[in-house]
Amino acid sequence: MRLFVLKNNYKFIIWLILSFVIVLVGYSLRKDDYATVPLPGTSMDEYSYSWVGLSLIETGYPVGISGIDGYKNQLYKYINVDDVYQSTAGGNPLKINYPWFDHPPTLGLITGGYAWMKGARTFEETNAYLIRKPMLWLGSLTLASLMVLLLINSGYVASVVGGIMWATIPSVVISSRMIQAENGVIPFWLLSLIFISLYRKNRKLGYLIFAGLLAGVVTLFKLSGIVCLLSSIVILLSDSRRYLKRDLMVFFFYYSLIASLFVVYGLIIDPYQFIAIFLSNSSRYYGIGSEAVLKLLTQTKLTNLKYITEPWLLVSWLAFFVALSRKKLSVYAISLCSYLAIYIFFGSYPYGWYSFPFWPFLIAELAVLLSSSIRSVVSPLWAFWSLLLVGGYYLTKFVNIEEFQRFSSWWKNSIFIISVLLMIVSVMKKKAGWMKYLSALLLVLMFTVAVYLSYKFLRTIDIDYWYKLS
Amino acid sequence: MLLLKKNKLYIFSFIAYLFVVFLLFLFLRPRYSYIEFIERKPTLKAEKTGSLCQYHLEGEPIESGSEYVKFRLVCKDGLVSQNTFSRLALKESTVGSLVATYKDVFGFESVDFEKRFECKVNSDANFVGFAYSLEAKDEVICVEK
Repeated sequence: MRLFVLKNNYKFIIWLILSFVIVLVGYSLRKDDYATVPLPGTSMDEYSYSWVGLSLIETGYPVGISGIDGYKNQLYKYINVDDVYQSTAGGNPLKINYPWFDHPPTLGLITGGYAWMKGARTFEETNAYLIRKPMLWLGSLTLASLMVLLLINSGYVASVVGGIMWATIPSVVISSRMIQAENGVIPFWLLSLIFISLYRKNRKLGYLIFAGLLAGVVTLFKLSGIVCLLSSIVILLSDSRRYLKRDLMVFFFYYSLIASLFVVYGLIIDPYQFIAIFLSNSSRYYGIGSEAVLKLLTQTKLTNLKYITEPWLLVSWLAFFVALSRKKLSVYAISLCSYLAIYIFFGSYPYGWYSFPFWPFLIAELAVLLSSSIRSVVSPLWAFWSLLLVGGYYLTKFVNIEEFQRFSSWWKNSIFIISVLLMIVSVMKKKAGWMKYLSALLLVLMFTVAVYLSYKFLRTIDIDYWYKLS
Repeated sequence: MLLLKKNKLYIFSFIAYLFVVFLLFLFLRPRYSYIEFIERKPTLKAEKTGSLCQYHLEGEPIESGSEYVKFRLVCKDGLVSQNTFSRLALKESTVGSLVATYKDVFGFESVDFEKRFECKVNSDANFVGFAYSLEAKDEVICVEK
C-alpha cells in the first residue's frame, strides 16, 4: 500500500476520498429496509445463526436449528420471533438441536453477540432489526476490501468502477443484508487475498502470515471457507518459485492454527456429536444437481425461493470467460475457479446464498474489463454491449414498450452510430487518436446511466416488491 | 540468526494458540442450563393486547404427519382463531399445554385462560379441564365465557 501512496500521492488521495464516499453510499443503501427486505423468516437460518451465538454467550453451549440428520438431542418448538408464524415460517415447529455443529459459530457470535449487547436474552428477542445490523458492517467491509483488492491488483480506475458496482447492484445490496455464513466468508476471504497480493508485490513475510491467519478465520465462518486456502495455494503456486515451499508452509501453519479452533471447539463441547455431524455433513443430499453451473449463469437466486434477474452478474460471467482466455490467470479468476470447484464438491441444496461468494470476483473481472475498455487497452465493444445489456434491461423496469416507441428511432440510431465508432476504435487501436477519448467518454456515460438505473431499481425494492418476487 | 528469529516467531505463535485454546476451555464450560435457556420467556418483547383471537398460526405442521392437534379459539367479540399445532411441540399432550403454547407463540403471557375460556375436545358436548389428555388429530375448541 505504501508503494501506491509514494508513487501516486494525489491519485491515492482522490481514490481515498472516492472510496470513502462509495462505502458510505453502499452502507446507506444496505441500511434502507434492511430489517424487512429480504422478509424476515424467509430463511430461518438467519435466526439460527444468531441463536447459536446467543446461547454460546449465555450458556456456553450452542443451540440452533438444523436440517442435518445425526443429532441426538432435539426438541420441537414454536419460536415466533418477528411474528414469523403469522407470515413466512409455515406451520411446522422449529427443530431445535443441541449442541449445534452444522457450521462454525463465528457468524452467530457476531450477530447473536450484537443482539446480546443490545439486551436480547431469549430467542424471541433476536429480531431482524437487531441481528441484521452487523451484516451492514460486514457488507461495508466487503465493499472496502473489494476496492482495496482491485486497487492493488488492477489499479485506480478498476477499483472505483468495481466499488461503484458492488455498492449499488440490487442483488448484491439485498443479499448482503442476510445472515448467511457466506456473507462472513466473503470479506475475510477478500482481506486474505489483499495480504496475499501485498506479499506478491514486496515479499514481506508478515503479509503472508496475516493472509494465513485470515484464511483460517474464513474457515471459522463456514467449512466451505477452505476455498480461501485452496485459492491462496494456487496463487502462491502461480508465481512464487524460489521460496515456494517456505511460503506454503508458513501460510498453512498460520491457517491451521486458526482453522483448527473449530475442531477444538467441537471436541471440548461434545466430541461424539461433533464427529457425527461432521460425517453427516459430508453425506448430505446432492441437491444442486448436474445443471448447477448452468443455473449459476442463468439465475440469480437470493434465497431458497426468490429470484431476481441481475444483468450485472450475467455480463460479469462474460467478463470472467474473457479473463480465462488471458495468458496468466488473475487473482479473481483463480478465486472464482476455486470456489466453483468447492461449490460443486460441497453442493447440497440450491440455496441462493451458496452462490454469493462468486459475486465479488465476477464483479472484479467486470470492473477490470470495463476499466480496460475505458482506457482503450482492450476493445471498447465488450464494455459497450455489456453496458447496453444492463442499461437496456433496467430501462424496461421504468419505461414500458408503448412509451418506448417514442424514443425507438433515437435508440436505434445512437446504438448504430456508437457501434460503428467503437468498431473503428477497436480496429485502428493506437491510430484511433481523438476517437479513443470519445469512446472512453461514451463508455463512462453509459456506465453512469446503467448504475443510475440499477440504483433507481434498487430503490423500488421494498417489502411489497419482495412479496411479488417469484 | 534469521532462522532463529523465525523459529521464535513460530514458537510464540504456537504459545498464543495454546492460550486461545485454554480460553476456549474456560468459555465453553456450561454456565447455565441450556434447556432452561431455550424455555426462557422474553422480557424485551411487549405483551400483546387486544383480542385473543386476532392471531392465528399460518400454515400446517406438515412435517409432523398425523401428530397434530387443531385448536379453535372463539372470542366474545366474534373473532375466531383457527390453528393447527404439532403435538411434538407441546410439552405435554394436554389441553393446558396446548393453550400455554398458543399463549407463548402469540405473546399473551399474563392472560388467565382457565378463568376466561371453557374448552371442548372434538364433538364431545361436555367441557373438559386443562389437564385433559389429547390424542393425535384431536380438535380443541375453546369458547370465551
